[in-house]
Amino acid sequence: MASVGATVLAFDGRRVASGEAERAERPEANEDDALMARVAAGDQRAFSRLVARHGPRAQALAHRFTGSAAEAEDVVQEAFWRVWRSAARWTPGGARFTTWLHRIVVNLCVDRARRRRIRDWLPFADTFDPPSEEADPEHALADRDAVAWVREDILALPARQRAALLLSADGERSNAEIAKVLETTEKAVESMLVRARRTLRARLAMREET
Amino acid sequence: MDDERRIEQFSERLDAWGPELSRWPADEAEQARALIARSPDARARHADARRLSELVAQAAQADAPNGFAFRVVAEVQSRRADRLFWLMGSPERFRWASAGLCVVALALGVALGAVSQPAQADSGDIDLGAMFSLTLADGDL
Repeated sequence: MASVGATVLAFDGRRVASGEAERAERPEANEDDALMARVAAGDQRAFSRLVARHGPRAQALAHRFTGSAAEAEDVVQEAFWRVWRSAARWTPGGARFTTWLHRIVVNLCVDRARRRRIRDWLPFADTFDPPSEEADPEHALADRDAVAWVREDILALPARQRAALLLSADGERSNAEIAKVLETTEKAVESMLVRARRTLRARLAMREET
Repeated sequence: MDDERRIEQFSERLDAWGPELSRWPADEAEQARALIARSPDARARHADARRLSELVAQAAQADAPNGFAFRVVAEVQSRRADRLFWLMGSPERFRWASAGLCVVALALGVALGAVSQPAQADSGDIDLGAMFSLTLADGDL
């Protein structure tokens, strides 16, 4: 297990029980391992390839979590900096690279959300964080369709529920994989998803009635 | 279990596992399909869950801004360079870093010396001490 900054990163394959079974189905995980081995040797082209392969999805996750494209880019830059620094400690054949990367991204997003909540208690909080473009009520008024409502409601969810829902949104990850990213149990993920979806459904119904 | 309770349970599973029944455990999916086939209420809840899932999928999409990957790579290269310049940029920092490295190497040497076994006299190793004494004697010192 390796610890990097405030984020505990575990990429020891033994922690991920079904990692090998997933790999057999997903050859891209082996490609990521090969790229990480080259990154560990200081290969910048391999690093650029990793960013091109996984950066856009990490950016989308951070963007919809934070509500700001600029903040998301900061998060993804920090995440890939940690990838570069920790590449030498990567264990091929263990956890999938994307599980690790998304764990870093989610933890950075949650840390930022926590800091923002603390700052909101301070006087002159606006001087720290200007409102994001998506959170702007005028912007929301201009684009009042169901997707915009749902996007707005996702931003209002508690951080862990928001992360679980966004990780499940594309339908490509099982709840077990989401549990690995969030370092929790599958049951806990199910509970987060039930609460998040019920909240969204109730808010959507309320908006559509009015 | 009556259908009303089954529908409640089905609804909870829809929220936990999503509306794509092929991703559910096989026996649960089978029961869910049977329930959908006979209950209009279950069909309505399934359709509602599917709609929400599609809305969330669309809401979660975000295009990466132009030049995003290039900026990420450039930022990481810049941070690497900054770290190197931070060390090389000040002779004092460089001296401290070198001194730290020496201390670590010395401590490692002492630790290794403390735990390693001394060589046995009959191990066949050449006794360099004796050779040195002979050399001194030859030189009349």
